Amino acid sequence: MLEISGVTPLADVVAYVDRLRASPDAGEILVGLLAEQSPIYDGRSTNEAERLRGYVLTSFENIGLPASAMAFVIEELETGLNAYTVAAAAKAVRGIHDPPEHLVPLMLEAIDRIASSDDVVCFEHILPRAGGAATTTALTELFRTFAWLGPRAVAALPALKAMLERNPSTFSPAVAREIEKAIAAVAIGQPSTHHSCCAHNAQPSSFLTSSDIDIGSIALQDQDGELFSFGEFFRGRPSALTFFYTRCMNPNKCSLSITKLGRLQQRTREEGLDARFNVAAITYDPAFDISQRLRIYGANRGLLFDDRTRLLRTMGPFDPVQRYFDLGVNYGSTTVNQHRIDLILLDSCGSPSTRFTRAQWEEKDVLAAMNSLS
Amino acid sequence: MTVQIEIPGTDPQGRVFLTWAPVRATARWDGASTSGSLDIVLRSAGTGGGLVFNNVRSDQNLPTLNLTLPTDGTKVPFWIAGEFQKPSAAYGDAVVQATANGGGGVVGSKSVMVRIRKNAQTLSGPERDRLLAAVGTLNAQGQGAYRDFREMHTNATTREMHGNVGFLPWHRAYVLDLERALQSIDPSVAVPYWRFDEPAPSLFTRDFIGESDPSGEVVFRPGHALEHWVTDGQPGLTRELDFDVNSPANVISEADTFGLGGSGSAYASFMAMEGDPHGTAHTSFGGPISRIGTAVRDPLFFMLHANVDRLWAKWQWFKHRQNPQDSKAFAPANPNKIGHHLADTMWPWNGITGNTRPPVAPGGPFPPTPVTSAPGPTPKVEDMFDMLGVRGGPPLACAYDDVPFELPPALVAGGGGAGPG
Amino acid sequence: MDVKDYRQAYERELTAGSSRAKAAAPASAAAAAPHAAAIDEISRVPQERDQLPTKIPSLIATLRDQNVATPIRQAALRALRAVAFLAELFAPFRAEFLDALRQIAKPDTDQQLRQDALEILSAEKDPYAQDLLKKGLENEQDSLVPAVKALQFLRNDDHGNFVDIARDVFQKAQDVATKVAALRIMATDAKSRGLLEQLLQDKTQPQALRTLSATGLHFLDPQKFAEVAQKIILDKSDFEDIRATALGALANAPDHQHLFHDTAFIDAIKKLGSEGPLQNLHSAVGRFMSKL
Repeated sequence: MLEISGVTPLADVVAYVDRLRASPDAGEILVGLLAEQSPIYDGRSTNEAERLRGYVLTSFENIGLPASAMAFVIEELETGLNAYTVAAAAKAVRGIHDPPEHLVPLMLEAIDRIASSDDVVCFEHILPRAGGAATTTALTELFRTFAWLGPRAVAALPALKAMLERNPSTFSPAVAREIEKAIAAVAIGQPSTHHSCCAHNAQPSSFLTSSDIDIGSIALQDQDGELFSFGEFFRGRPSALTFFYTRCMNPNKCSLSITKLGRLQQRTREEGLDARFNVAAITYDPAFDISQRLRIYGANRGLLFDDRTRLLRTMGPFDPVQRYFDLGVNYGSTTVNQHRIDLILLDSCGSPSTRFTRAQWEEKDVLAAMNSLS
Repeated sequence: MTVQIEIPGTDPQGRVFLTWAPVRATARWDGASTSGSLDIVLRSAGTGGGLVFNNVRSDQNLPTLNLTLPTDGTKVPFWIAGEFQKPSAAYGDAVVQATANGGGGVVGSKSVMVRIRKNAQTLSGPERDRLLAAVGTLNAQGQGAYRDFREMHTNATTREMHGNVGFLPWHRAYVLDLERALQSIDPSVAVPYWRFDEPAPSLFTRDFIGESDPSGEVVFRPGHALEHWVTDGQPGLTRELDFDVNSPANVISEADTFGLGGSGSAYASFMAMEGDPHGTAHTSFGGPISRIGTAVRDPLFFMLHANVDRLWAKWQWFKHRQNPQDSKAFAPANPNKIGHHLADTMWPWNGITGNTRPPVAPGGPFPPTPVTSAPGPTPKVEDMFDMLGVRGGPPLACAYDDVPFELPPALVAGGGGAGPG
Repeated sequence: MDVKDYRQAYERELTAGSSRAKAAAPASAAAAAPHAAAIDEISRVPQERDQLPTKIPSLIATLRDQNVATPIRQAALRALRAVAFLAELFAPFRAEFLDALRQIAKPDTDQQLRQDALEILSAEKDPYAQDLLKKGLENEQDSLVPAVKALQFLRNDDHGNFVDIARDVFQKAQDVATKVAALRIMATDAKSRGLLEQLLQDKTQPQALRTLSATGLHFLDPQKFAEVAQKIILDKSDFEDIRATALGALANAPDHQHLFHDTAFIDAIKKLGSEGPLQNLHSAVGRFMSKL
């Protein structure tokens, strides 16, 4: 097997992905390439990393989407801002054997989010080109997926009709034609009486940590410059710990995560639980996110700092934390190139017990899981 | 002093800030309590800002006002406003003075400021430097609250404020929010406007908003308050002028802006100004200010938008269109345009996130000021229409140097009004 | 002035006010003259809100069309940039607009037009434009815009891995403007602290580089900056302007409250304020002392 890494030229990675697509059992290998930690993303720019992910995602349209890839599709539909990767996720949906109902509202959200940032994309080439016949757009692909879903997306019918009736239109004539086709395909169905048992938001799961790392001794600094070890802060009471960086470009990820962390803190206060829990976040980008930046970032998002509520950075490399918690993050030459959403609950010994990953977490779910810890 | 003058809206430091909007104030005898009364005259006695007075709420105010004060200390009301086109240049350069009638001496006085948004081209050096110092402090080299303002106005939030009828009300609130943030640093500051249809060579200098070098980098005088400007994690700015600095920008004139849609134009026609002169003012440059998603990186943004807001305020005054319920003063939004209907609260001040609103709401509720109760912590679109309170509601406590206070034709002078809340 | 008199005067002013013809960019005014009517028509599009759904596609077609005179295509691009401020009204045409910009970002397009196209695309962090700009920096023969513009455009994306190429340009460039543009990219990388510290203290460096190094070092490491800045401010052998720049940076940021309690430093700053004739430094002293 070809050794693929961050320095492998994009064209070679694409050739590798193309070969995998032709292989009958390649699904899980391709899913493995979607993980942010995969070495194929090491050192690449965010643009390159996102295009690679998009290229891999589109594979599933033809080879079928493994269950293990569903979380990646949901993530893109829920938080993606890049027209290329959102279009790829829309195409990947067409590889699902039995699409779950909760994809429908996610696709409507994706349309709403991408409508003001749509762009021409082409999946014949990994590198963008000017013009070309085989181009499409993210909106086009999303509506084509609705057409593919047909009656299974009947719940979207009112929303699709409303989109078409907007005046002035927020869609180009070409996209409007795709909406018409989607409506025609969807409208032949009846309202579904079947309700999915599964929510799309992140659900708690357990996990193993990397045992070769002494997480307790890792040096941390908080938003006020105070220094202590991971163990000193996180041992003694249960904790909700998430990860972020202040340069994150996607407001649906880090900015929202810290805002929600603030709301989580508020709820623990309202319920008189705040003295029982730590609420904290560690930056992926410790060299850049100095104390002052952490303080301002948290305060602007409603975090009320106290001895149990802090934003943190590692004093050394972030790598041991990343490996210990198996965090979905990777780096370009200057900063993070991509990351998923990760929230981890630690017990009072500072040991991880539960994680909410990739999809958006809800404060109520995290609070319930925190209560079960104490 | 034996006459005390009390003006509502006094801040905790005892300072008073007025605009052209009349405020209901009081004077009272503060000497020994006796029976009888004292006749006094109120007049403007400052070296800069002018003041005018009246017994009733009016747009025809007087340079002096005679009052009779009971010597038992009873408060006697009167109305006071900044004298149109005589704004202050610094705090305390406007003074209301009370003298005893019949040639008596000064029996009371109060220093105030007539705080008005002025043409940036005409700002004095000290006014300019106070403004820049406050803007620099707000940015704090990327660590200050300017970041909140930056995050409010991005590609991801654009539907809250562009391409629809709420464009002008939202941006009025936005400029006012920034102005209040600056005033929390230096209360003598008001956001000046860049009159983009006239030359403004004093503005684009190293001493003011920066001079563009041949490569488009904005350079400042060493030690300038904006020299270490940081936004989006990046130091510095580019701004390339696509017009001669001694000429107007590539925009239509104020007269043509007023002519959009013809002489009887309603808001639905006037809204075309979002494209020109607003859009064309932005795109009279290269650099971040020329694109929605990055425009706020350049502090010139707020002077540009103060002028857009001034044009609306002036149009509202000229056509008497401060009532949002007037069908010519506003246009209905499409049903699906949340945030653009008169009764909708505006993001981000309403704190509403998710669904059709952006995922986060930077900056918190709208900041209060001691000067007025308007527009409240979660302003609605309809709250931004009556800047000077001509219809009797609380004013927004901001004003432009060329937009006067004038009562609507239907209102008779003295017809009430809440004054500042 | 009486408000009624003011109203009448303004009415007269409006009546007298005439439409100001939209100027083409000054440099291209002569070239635009033969196309004045077409340019004038295009320049009115941003006011024609109700007609935008039909006008925007037409403008994009004009922009793409190599057979149309360059001044007219430039006018079309100016109008499109302005209507892009109408956000949702423009959104349906955004993909097509970006596609057109990619199409004209090539050597045989007018220099200003392709530079404008690359600026807009790179502000969108467009990988196609970034690729072209990067290739131009690596090989001058491939450059579509001057190096300084390429660096300015690439700096729109701090996730773009452009620090290495900026460092390379910084080392090779002879002109200060290009060096400044390169250093601005490097100043967002924590690994540049040492270089910024060194440049800031090097009296032989151009003022523009030292000024930017002050901003950059303060941004990456405020404590280290404060150490270096104090030395520079009090060093009478250094240039007045860089001393003013350093003091201005200390005055502006919230990180240096401890300095306001350092009586020896405050006394030294007060003394600076009484020394003359140092206009910029005095002004910075005034601003610093106002924070006390």
